[in-house]
Amino acid sequence: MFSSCEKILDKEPRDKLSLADLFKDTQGARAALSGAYHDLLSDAHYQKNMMVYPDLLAGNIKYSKMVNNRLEDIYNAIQTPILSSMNDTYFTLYKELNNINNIIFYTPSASGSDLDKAKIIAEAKCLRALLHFDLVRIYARPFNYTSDGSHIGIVINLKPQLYGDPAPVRATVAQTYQAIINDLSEAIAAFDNNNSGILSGGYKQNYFTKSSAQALLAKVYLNANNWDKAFSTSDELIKSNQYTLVSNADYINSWIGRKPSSESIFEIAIETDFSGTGLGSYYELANTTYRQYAATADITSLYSATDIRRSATMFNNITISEVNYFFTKKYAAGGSLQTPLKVLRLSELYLIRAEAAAEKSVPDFAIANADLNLIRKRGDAAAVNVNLLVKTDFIDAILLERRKELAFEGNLLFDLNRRKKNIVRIDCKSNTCNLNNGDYRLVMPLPADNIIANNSMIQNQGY
Amino acid sequence: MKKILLRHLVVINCFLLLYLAGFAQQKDPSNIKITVNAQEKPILEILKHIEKQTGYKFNYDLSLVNLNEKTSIQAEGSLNAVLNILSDRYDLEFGINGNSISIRRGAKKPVKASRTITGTVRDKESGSPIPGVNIHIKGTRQGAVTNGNGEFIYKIIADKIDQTILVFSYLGMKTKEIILGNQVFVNVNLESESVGMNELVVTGSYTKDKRREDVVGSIGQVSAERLQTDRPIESFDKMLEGLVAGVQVETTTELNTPVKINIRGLGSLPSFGASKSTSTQPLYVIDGVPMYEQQRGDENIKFNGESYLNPLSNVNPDDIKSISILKDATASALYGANGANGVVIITTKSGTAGRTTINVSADAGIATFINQYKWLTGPQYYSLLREAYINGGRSATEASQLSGSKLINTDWFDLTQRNAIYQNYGLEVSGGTEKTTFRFSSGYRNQQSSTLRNDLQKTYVRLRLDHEFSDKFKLSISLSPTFSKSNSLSDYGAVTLPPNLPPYTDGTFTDFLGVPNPLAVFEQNENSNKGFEFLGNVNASYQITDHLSISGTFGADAYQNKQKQYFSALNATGRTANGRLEIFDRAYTSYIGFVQTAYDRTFKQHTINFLVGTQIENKMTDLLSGTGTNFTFDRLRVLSTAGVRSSASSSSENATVSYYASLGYDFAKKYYLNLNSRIDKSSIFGGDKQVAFNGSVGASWIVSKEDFLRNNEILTFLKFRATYGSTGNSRIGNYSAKGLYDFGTSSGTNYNGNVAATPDGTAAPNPDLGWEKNFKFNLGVDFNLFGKVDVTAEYYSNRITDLISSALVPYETGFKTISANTSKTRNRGFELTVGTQIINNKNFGWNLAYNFGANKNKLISFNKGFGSLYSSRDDAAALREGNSTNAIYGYYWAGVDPQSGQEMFYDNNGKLSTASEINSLPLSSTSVLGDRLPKFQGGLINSFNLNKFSFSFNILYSYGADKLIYYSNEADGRNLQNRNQSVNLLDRWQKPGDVTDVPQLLINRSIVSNSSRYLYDVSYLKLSNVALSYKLPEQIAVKLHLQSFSLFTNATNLFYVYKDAGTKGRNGIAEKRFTTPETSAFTGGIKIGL
Repeated sequence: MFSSCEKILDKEPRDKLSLADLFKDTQGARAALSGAYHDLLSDAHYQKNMMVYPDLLAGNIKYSKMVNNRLEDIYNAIQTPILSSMNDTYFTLYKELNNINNIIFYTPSASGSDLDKAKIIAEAKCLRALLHFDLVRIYARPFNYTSDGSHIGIVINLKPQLYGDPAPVRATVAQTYQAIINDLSEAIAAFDNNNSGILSGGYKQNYFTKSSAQALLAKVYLNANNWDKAFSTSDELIKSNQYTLVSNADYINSWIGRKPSSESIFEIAIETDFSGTGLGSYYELANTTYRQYAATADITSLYSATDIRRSATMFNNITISEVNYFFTKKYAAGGSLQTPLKVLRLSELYLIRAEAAAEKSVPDFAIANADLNLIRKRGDAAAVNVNLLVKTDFIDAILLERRKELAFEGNLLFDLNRRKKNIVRIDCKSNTCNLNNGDYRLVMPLPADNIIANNSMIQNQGY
Repeated sequence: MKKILLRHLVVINCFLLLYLAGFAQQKDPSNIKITVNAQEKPILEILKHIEKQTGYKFNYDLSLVNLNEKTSIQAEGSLNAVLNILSDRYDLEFGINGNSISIRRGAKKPVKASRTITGTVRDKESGSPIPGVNIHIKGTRQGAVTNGNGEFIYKIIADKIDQTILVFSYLGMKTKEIILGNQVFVNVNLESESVGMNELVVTGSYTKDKRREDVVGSIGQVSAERLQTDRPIESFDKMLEGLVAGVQVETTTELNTPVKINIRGLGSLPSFGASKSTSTQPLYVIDGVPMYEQQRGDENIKFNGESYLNPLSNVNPDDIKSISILKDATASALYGANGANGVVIITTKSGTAGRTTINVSADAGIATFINQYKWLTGPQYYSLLREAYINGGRSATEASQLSGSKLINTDWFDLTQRNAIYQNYGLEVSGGTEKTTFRFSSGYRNQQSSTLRNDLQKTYVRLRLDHEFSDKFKLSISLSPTFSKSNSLSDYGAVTLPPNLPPYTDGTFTDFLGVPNPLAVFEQNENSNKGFEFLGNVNASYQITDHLSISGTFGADAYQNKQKQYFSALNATGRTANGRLEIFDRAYTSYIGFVQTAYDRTFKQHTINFLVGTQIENKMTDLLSGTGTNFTFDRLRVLSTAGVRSSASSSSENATVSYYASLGYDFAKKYYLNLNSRIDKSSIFGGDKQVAFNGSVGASWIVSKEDFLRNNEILTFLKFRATYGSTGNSRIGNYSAKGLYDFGTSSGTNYNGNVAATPDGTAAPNPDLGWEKNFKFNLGVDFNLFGKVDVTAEYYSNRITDLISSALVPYETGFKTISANTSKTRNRGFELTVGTQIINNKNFGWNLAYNFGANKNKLISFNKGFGSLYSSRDDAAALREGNSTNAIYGYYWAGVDPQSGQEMFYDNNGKLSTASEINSLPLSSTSVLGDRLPKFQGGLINSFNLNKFSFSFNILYSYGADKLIYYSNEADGRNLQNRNQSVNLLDRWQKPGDVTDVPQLLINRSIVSNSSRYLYDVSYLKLSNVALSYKLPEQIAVKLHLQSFSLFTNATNLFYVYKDAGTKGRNGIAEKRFTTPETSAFTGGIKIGL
């Protein structure tokens, strides 16, 4: 009698679901996966911070207004563990990781087809790799800071962390990259060749598939200085011919609308009814509250007069208080006109293959120069082919082209860091415009609260 | 073993108490005092004891007198008197000669009449039989004692039986004498003595009422009379202020909002920001049914707009018979996992057998403001604003232009506030027969708030029926619906509008850009609540045998409230939405059922009561909301006319299954032992943590019943009590431990049309989350001096472990904070209650009651030593080891620099710093500035009776509490262009050399909201209530065909004395303490018994 009475104690929440209840079946796991993709859109992640701060600190972006600017402490290189604008990013990314780890941890016991479960887990692992990759680039020194990557990396989170679990500790950079590569390799092995996500709706580019996982893996190898693998992985993907570069004529239009362009490999979808503050709001001409990220003369001056990516064509021009500012058209509008956030594009894969070709154990400058020229000439039809055979010259050319092609996409700081280049900002109003390679401020501090809550956590040097 | 023990006890009882020294010299047998107390002993043995006591020797011839007859005798008195008793009873004659007493058979003595009488002694109030009542013939000590059922058999032997006076006495009851007459059956009802140790105490829903003397735990009880329900206060929780030692009421000045009651300090951690912690409030139980506590946290964020009302106001104060506050472990352990913060037991009135009585009452009154905040007038405001602009670098002309009107002087306070009116009507019909009693009551209360368009109307109905099917089977039913309606249109905010704005322009409401005109809001908006609460319970009990009974109670609480809020498109509140309507519908239902068996038995001097029971409780909340915008026509305020509509629903549920047992034992009403235990299983916690075991042990000793204190005329009563045990607290909201996934976020809920679920940031999974445990230790002493002054003093030390709070956790968990059992705190304190009837004449009485409670709180450990938890700067709270959990954290203010006119502060190293320097310091560098809870507080209640007049006044005091006032009304120019400020700003710094507390006015400035500048000492003493009533003499009332007629008046909050008095003409703590100023209410009414 008592036990039947006590059945009353089995209560499940109704307008939220408990963890155990959600992962009862694959339908719940899918909802969590959908949440994991959706989470990438947070302001602290791709909707702003991750796409802006590498360009802001490294010299592509300046402010078009005086007050109420976002990420100002980063621009001025005065971020502190207590107040850093990037603290929220640290927290947000681990919050996303928690959801992803729940998916990977609980989905195997959910009811549903094994095929579906494998696919859900594979996609989740790619997302986990992406998050660890973002974290290690923001909060740790680049791979080549020590010869074997044995310097301090980040906390690798591979399972849900509970309050009672031992306090997390930071792994080395090499271990971190290995974890990322493991996740991606396992996912690639598990994916089928259909190249579509488990979730319906949108486009294949909105999900991690075998191809988009390969593209990310190539970029990871490049950052881990594993040139041979970076080459082979990007080579394989390019040769699969699933993606094609958009033409010079279509370049500007490829940044408008919500349909992925032919060269987009992974981009984060924006809902049809989206009308909030998106990344585009910060570049949007009409939006005087948020508009602030103007292009520096440092970047606009890099384009030739015939380059489609130059200020006259690829930038909106506006005069504010008698000063001319240029705002990129890559994310020209927020609100209901916000475009999907592009994370991996084929042009970057060409640049990865080019750089890896020049660096790999058996350098291949033919492919390297061909790829470089392909991207240069796609942007500037009038450009003359180059054929650089001295590695340092070639790498400088690659870095220049990467800066021109991938501006405002969250790459510049990481490229300079991994190539041990100094930051030199000329069109700059910060008190600290130049930062030498190795400066502690090139790596973001860990949030102070996180150090307080964990005695075994080590703060980044200098903070 | 048992036999030996009994014999031993007999010997102790037979011990003849006598001052042996000097007996030999005393030859007058009527002066020799002896005590005899024997049960079933041969007369011979008794005589031997007398020999031992007195030194006299008895001479007898056993062939002539039979001294082997067994007898029981309890006597105390002179040797003569004792011998007389023996002589009467056994027909013996005693002759005293020197040191020897000869015994002979009595010769020709007239045979005394004898009669055996039987009867029952009952408590007049409750009708329950009283065991252990002493019955004796007046002038003797000889007599009988009632058994466990209150019954007695007594063989009376006396000369003139008809004229014999029988005395019935029992501690705590008024002694009653009756002349026997020709009665054989004598049924007597004893009345309890009204003061002190003798009152009947409600000890809980599960246990029987006990006399104060029998109570082991710590219980503070307030009778209806003491609660002074005639006061114009809408809910009983607010009425409790200052009445019970150790019970602190954090009052509010807003109508029908919940107040906080802290019993012996805070038993849980305060919550701040997004942090989640358990309820710090006591459990309210009315006639066995726990009352609804509205707690935030479970519902969807769409319901954040809903107002919170006070469900406790749905109990008509006039229906309350008594309120018991269970403070220590023994008192509250039977409430197990919900008793940690104390339990408040409300008992409602029931009918009494006899003539049907009808009482009607009506009272009304008016409230005026006291300690009203002083705002700048229009011209003052203008000149200050102008000065602030000039200080900010504007030219004089520009500043004048920007500062608005120089002449307009609008008193927004006056336009939006009023002297509130209060009305209360009551009807009570009660009566019944021996078998069935009933009481029906109804009340209507209409109370205005001081702010216009804020009022509250309540209609109460309560029906109570008690029926005895037989001596064994009893049933009691109570039903109580309450209807309430209220308007709470505007908050107090409007009084801060700049005073140089005109309320009307050209016959219409002036429209201020973006800021609503309060007068337009009053006329055009709507915010109303319609509520219904139903409390009901059925209780049945069956007496299986004389000692064994079974009872069951089923109770239900249904609470419904519908809130309708309309923001009109005609004013700034609803303009952008083009009219916005929000409807919230809250439905809560709960039921509770408990079944228990009780075993009560008295074996001679041993009384045992044992109780075992099980309880099931289930609570459900369902919420529904509808929002509409874009209204086509402003006065059609229904969702169907809204252009855009949205809706939301939310529901939650929790359940508890419990098992409890209680054992009470006493020996000779002198030594008491009490054991309680309870097991609770709750749906709130996960896995193994579902089960909580709580228990307590308590003992008490009535020292004054020991022989050495018996009949002591100074210390008339003395009792020691000690209790220890645990209670728990599970009220953290539902599902907290499970880890939740949210399906709705503010930035869209889908990814490519796929529903997106993400972990709820405030509900991290924590399978280890368990109950809070409150280990309570209590030491108490009750004593009475001269039979007049009742004193209760108690010391307690409560250690609360596994306290639930948000704990900072490594971000890698995916959460910033997690609800966990993180900390240990301790509340220690001392309480004193004194009650005395200073004068008690027929025509004049003066009764004084005083209480005092001191409490000290300390956070012993927090979050395994990892980071302290800090609230926002403005809230200035933190959980930091070693300090009180109510401490106020901030920085010390260093005053205003007379040269620069800037505010200066000390940082944590004592370095002088500016406001912006201080604000850039981390919160961990703050230090403790004060404490929100008082060091001690209490009340003094005096009541007088003079003929038919009675008069009473209450003085309440509180010492040592601090309050941090939010800076917005004294922001030194910040925001000055948008809002009015305190008159204190008139003392601002203007030129170098000015020595003042108010810095130079600047519109752009940083403010240290957690500086000691805004910290005030709230120690005060107030005359909280004065009441005067007059009762028409009965003879006159009868002539008017009335049973009774009385008139009463009442005045609240007559004056305050603050320790920190402030400066005259400026605002000090008195004015700043409450946002809406306090009121002083004057009421008067009549009560008529038909």
